[in-house]
Amino acid sequence: MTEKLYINETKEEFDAIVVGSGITGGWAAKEFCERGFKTLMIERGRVVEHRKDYTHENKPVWQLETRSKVPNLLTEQQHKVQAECYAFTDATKHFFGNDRDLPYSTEKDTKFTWIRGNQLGGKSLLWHRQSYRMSEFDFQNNKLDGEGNDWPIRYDDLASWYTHVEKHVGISGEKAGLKQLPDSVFQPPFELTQAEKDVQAKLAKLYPDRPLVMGRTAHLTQPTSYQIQQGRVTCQARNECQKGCSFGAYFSTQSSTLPAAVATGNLHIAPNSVVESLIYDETTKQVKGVNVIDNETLTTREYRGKVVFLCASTLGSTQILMNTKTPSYPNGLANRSGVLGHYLMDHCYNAWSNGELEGYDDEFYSGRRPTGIYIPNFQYTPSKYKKGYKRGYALGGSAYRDNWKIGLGQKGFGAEFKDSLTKPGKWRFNFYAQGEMLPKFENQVSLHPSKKDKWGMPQLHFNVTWSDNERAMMEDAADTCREMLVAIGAKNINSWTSTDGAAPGLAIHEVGTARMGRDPKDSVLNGYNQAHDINNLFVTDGSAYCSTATVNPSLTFMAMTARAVDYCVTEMKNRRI
Amino acid sequence: MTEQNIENKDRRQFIDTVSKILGATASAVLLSGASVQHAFAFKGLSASDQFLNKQMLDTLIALSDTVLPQTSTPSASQVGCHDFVQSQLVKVHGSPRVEECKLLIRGLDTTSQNDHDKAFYLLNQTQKLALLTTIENSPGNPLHGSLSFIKSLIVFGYFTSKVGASQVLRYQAVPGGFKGSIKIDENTPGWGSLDFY
Repeated sequence: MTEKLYINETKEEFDAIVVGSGITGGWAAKEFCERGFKTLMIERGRVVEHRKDYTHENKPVWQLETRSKVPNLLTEQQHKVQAECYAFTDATKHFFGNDRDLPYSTEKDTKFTWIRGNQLGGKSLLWHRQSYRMSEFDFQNNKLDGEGNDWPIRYDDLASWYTHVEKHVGISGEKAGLKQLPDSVFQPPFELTQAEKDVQAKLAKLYPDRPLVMGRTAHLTQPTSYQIQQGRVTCQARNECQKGCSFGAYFSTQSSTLPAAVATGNLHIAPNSVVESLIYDETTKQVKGVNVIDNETLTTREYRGKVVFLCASTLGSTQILMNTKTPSYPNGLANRSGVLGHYLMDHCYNAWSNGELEGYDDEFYSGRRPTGIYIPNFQYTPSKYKKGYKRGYALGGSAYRDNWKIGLGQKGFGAEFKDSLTKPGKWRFNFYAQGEMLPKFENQVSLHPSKKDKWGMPQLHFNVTWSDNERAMMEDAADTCREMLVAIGAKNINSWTSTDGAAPGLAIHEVGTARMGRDPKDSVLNGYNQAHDINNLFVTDGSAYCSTATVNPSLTFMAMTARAVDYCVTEMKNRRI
Repeated sequence: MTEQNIENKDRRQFIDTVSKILGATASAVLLSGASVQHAFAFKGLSASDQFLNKQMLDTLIALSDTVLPQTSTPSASQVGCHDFVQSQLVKVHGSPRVEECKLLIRGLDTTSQNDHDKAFYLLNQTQKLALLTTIENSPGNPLHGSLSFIKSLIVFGYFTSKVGASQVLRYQAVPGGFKGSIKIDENTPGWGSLDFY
C-alpha cells in the first residue's frame, strides 16, 4: 500500500466518500475507484493490514496462553456482549468491539445483542461467509402477505449485479436449479460426507420440497487467475477464518475489494475517524461531506465529497442519519417519512435438533470444512405458509462425529474413559433453523435522550423483541426437524427452541431501520439506495432492507452496493446529481 | 518427539505451505508479521501465582491421572494438566473457582482419610476410581459439582496440550482442503484440531 493511502487532515473534495470499510464499504470503494472516482473510505477504527496484522493466525491451541478461553473478568468488564458470538475467543477478540467503549441501552424487559467489528475491514474479517441470492419470492412477499412495505426492486433488478460480485468474490457451491434459491456463479462446492450424501438421498425421496444442498460460501475452491493475481488461493480448510486468512481464501475487504481499489490509485483511507454526522446544505439540498471525531484524540475534522455512501453497518449508518439534525430534518437526515430507526430485523436462529446416525464406523473426514449443509426455505410463498404464522425458515446443519469434547460432561474415569475420547465418536446429524423475522414498526432503534459514548455521540437505544410469529415459527421448526430426523432413521433425537434465550441481534444479520420503498412517505431510500430527498446520499448496507428473507444477507448487500454505485455514477455523468 | 520438535514441525509445515501456495514474497510478508512471531511464545503460570501446597498438588496430580491415566499414551500429569488446571483457574476463572478447587482437593483427602486412613494420592488406582465414581454418581455429594468442573478442565487441558492434540490425537495445522470421506479403522485416533475450542 502506498504512503499516501492513509490520510488524516485534508482539504480535498473527493468525488465520493464511503463511510465504512466492511463488506459494503469495500465494495462501494472498489466500484467508485475502478470508475476513476477519487474516493475516500472512512473507517472509525484502526488499520488492519492483510496478513501482517493477523496476529493469532495458525497459532496452535496449546500456544494460546489460555487455550482460546477469554478470562472471565475481562469478558465481564469489556466483552460481555461480544462474548455471546460463537466466534469470540481469545484468538479473535481483537477483531471484536470493546463493549466498555461501545455502550448502548435497551428498553426494559428487552434485549438486543449488538456485535461490533470496528476496524479496517469491519465485520468482513469476522463474517460466517454464507452466500445466497435472494429469490423473486423474497422480494414479493411483503406485497403478497401485507407484512412490511413492498420492496421497490425485484430479483431481476439485482440478478446481473449478483453475477458481477460473485465473479469477484468467489462463491463455492453447486447449481441446484431452485427457484426459491437462485444459483450463483460458482466455484466447486465443498464435499458432503458420506453420511450427508445418504441423508440427502433419503430427504429427496421423503421430502421433495426440501432439497439438501452444500452450503454456499465465499471461499475459493478454484480461484480465477484474477483472484490468484490478487494473492488469493484455494481454501486450506482450516476454518479459523475469524483470525484472518493469509491465503486470502475467504472474501474480506482486506483480501479482495481493498486491493482492487488500491490498485487504481484512486483510494484514500481515513482510519480512526468516527463519523459524527453529515454536513447538509439547506440551499442545494445535498450533503457536502461528513463531520468526524478522531477515534483516539477526540479532535474534530471534516471531509468533503460530491456524494456520500453510508456503508457503516445497519445500525452505524442509521445512527449517523439520526444524529444529523437540520432545520429541514429535525428528526434525522432523510427522515421525512418518520420510519428511520424503525423496522429493525434480524434472523431468528432459535430452533435446533440433532440425533445419532447408526453405522459409518469406518467413515471419517479430513480437514475442517468452513460450511455445512443447507435446506432452503420451503415455505417461500404465501400458498406454502403453515397455519399459525407467516413466512418460513431455512435449515443449516451437518453430519459429524463426536470428538473428545464430549468428555467435558461425560461420566467416567480411567483408561476406558480416556480411550473413548481418543477415538472418533458417534455420528450425529444436526439441524438449526434460520427463520425470517417480520418487519414491525415497533421494533425500533433510537438515540438515547441523554446517554452518550466517549466520542460524545448519543448512544443507541433498542426496543426490539421477537413477535409471536417468530415464536410459533421456531416451535414448528423444532418439531419439523425432529420429524425429518425420525424419517431419515436418526436415533436419540433432541429438539428444542431458544427463542427466550437468544435475543435479536445475535444472528448478526441486523437489517432495516432506513428502508427502501416506492413511497417517500413510508421509506427513507428509493430503489437505488438513494435518499428520497437528498440525491447525493446513498445508504447501501443492511439498513436499506424491507424484509429479512431467510438467506444470509451479505451477498445481497454487495450486489445492492455495486448497483447503487453504477446508478450514482450514471446520474453524476448525466448531471442529475 | 520432543515438545520443541512438535512446535518446529508445525511452524515448518505452516511456513512451507504458505511459501508453496503464495510464493516467497507473500510468505515473507506474513512471516515478518506478528502471527508467527507470537505463535511460539506460550507463558505458563508464574511461581507466585501457584496456589496449591505440595500435598494438595500431589492430590491434583493423582486426580488428573485417575481421570486420564497413562496407557499407550501419556497420562494427564505427564502432559502438565495439573499445571494447566491451576493456570486456567487463575487466569480465566478467578478466585471463586480457585477456592472451589481447593475445597475439592481438601474434600478428596478428607474422604480418603475417613475411608482408608490415608491421603488420596496414596490410594491405589482401584480405590481412587471407586472414590471418584461414588462422588460422580451422587448428585447430592458436596464435592459432586466441583469434581465435575475440575475434571472438565483436566480433559480440556489434556486434549489441547501439544502432546494430547498432536500425538494422542492427530493435528492438522493446514489440512490443505476438505475430504468428505476417508476410511479409518478402530485404532484411528480422532482429530485434535477443531474449528473452535
